[in-house]
Amino acid sequence: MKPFPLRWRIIGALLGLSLSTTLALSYMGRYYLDLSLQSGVNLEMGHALTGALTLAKENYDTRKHLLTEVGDILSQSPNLIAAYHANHPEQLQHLFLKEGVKDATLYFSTTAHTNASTTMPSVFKASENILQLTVPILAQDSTVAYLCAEQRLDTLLNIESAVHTFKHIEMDELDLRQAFSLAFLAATAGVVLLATLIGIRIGFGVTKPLYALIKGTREMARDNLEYRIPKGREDEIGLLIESFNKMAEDLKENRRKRLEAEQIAAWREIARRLAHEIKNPLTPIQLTVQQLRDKYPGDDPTYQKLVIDCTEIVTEEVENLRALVQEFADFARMPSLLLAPQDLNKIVLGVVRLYPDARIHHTLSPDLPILELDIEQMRRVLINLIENGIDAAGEKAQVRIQTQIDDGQICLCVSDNGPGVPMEERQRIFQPYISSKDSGMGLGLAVVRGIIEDHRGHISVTDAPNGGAQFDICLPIPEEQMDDSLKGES
Amino acid sequence: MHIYHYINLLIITFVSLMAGLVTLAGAKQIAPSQLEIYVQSDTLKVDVGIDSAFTQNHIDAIESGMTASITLQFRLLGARNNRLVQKEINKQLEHDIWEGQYRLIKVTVPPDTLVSSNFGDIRHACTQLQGLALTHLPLPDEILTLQARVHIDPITPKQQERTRRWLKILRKGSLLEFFFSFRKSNPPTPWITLRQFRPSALPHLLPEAAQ
Repeated sequence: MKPFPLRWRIIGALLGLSLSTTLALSYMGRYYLDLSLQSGVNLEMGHALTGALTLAKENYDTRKHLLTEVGDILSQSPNLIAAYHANHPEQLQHLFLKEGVKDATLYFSTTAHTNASTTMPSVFKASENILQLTVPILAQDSTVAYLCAEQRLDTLLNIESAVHTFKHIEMDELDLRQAFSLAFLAATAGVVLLATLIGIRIGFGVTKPLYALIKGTREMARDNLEYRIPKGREDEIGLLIESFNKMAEDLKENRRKRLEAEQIAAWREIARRLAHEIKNPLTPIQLTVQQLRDKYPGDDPTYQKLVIDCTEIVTEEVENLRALVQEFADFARMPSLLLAPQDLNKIVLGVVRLYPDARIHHTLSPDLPILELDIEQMRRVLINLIENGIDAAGEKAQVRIQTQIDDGQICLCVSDNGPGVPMEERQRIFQPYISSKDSGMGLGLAVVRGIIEDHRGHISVTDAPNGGAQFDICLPIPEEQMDDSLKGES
Repeated sequence: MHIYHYINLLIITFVSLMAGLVTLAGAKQIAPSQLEIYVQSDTLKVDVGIDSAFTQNHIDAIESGMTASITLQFRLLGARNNRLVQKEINKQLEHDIWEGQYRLIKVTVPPDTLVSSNFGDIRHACTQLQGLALTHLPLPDEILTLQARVHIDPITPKQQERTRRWLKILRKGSLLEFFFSFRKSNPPTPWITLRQFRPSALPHLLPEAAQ
């Protein structure tokens, strides 16, 4: 069976994990809710509250009864009139205490509550939480004022309130449980939804670049080394993409180098054969022509002059051909390197001395490490580049040579004040038989690059600061000398 | 099917489930114990009694002193179920457990109050309506439907608040409170059809006879 794609497996794993966790937590929450509700809303609590309410009712009836009795006593007591005239209702407090009414608040009032009788004592609820006794104070058969005694019913009302709340919870218990279930369900759904979204984000986030990598490898398999995966991530996947892109770049570069190497090898083979085929008949041609000139027996001066002129022309052209053949031979031969520890600065100075009349400026870094170089080949490189510069710039040629250490490499820069190398020519000029000059076979820079690459270096051409061409040669510093040169730099 | 469809299906199922649970309130059916529909002084009137309006829960709550709001709703539907008239009677039933008295306040201007120590009398007064004027004539001469429903809620807003304070888990703004308040613990009964009639077939009473 074909396995699920990775992204769906990631989403499924996150979904399963979050769902199982949330369901487990929901179950536990529900369990503890049941416990909590059972401890608060149960039959025993209901009985207790109902009993408390019954007792409260009895207490209310008792209070009412006692107040009624006190009211009857007061209505016939002369103390009531005396206290009223003294405006001191507390004088009557002992009568209340004597009858068992402890917490009554007494005061006189000229008006009575609407529920109160104007002629005889009455006990009634003056408000929701006040039980009031009103005793009319009679003088000359008319009511002049009222003694009011109030008792607060807060404690009783609290019991009533507790019973009501209990009843409410009891009535809504099912709703409460359902609300809990819905809340848990909503939370679960929210978590699951969130987990799904996160899963999709992660799943797609992980697999999308993987698919891009797969596409990249397929493109590479189809020999498309130009394909690059777009970056945009800084994590490990981003590093993987970067490595892939670098690998593709390296492959492309290696392929280019290999092709160039094959091309150069082919050119060398052609050059070698040409040199061989052309060089051999040159000497006989030259000797034969000279012999024709020397052995001419006639005395026709005109013809003799013609012979002499032709011989000179042939000899001159043979010499030119010989020079070309030599150039071919040099390119074809490219002897193997004879490496020895060398100071690049000394090589530069040695070559510069060969051009006493030319304006050659040099800026040499004193900290260059000793390199393994073929001195003759490197001299050849320098001579080639200097002469190229002089040829390109003409009479007012100025050549600058600079050595320095840059990024773990030794850089040798040779620049001139000539017209420079157009951008589109910069890659081609290192190929054999490509030349912008009238003379020569265009092998010089090909030879130079061959030598530099044999030294595991790299050559490129850019614009010089003063507008001409600048050839940058970078040679690697051996590992063992790297630390020393860095120390020197610091 | 694409995964997004599964996710959509999941969400829709969840929402439907929640909506179903929310609407699954214990709605109680009511039945009229007495019903007379007649015309008097060009007014369509009804005498109706709905004794089954009170459940045992309602009675227990009122007996314990909880104040209940009582709403009786009537509506008259036309032949195409179009609503012609809707009438609402609001009452409040208080029980002073200390004095043992019930007080039924009809929410009108001015309020009409009935005080009694007998719950049966109060219950009768709550659910028996005599000469309730529904609408004036004329009415379309088609088959009309008279429907009614009752809503008795012994939980006042004050009691709601007190219970919230008691149950600290029901804090305002919490998810639990949302779902709790989403549900009506004492929902109104569903609309029930009291009778279907044609206005022209109704008896006409003299004004005196109705009194």
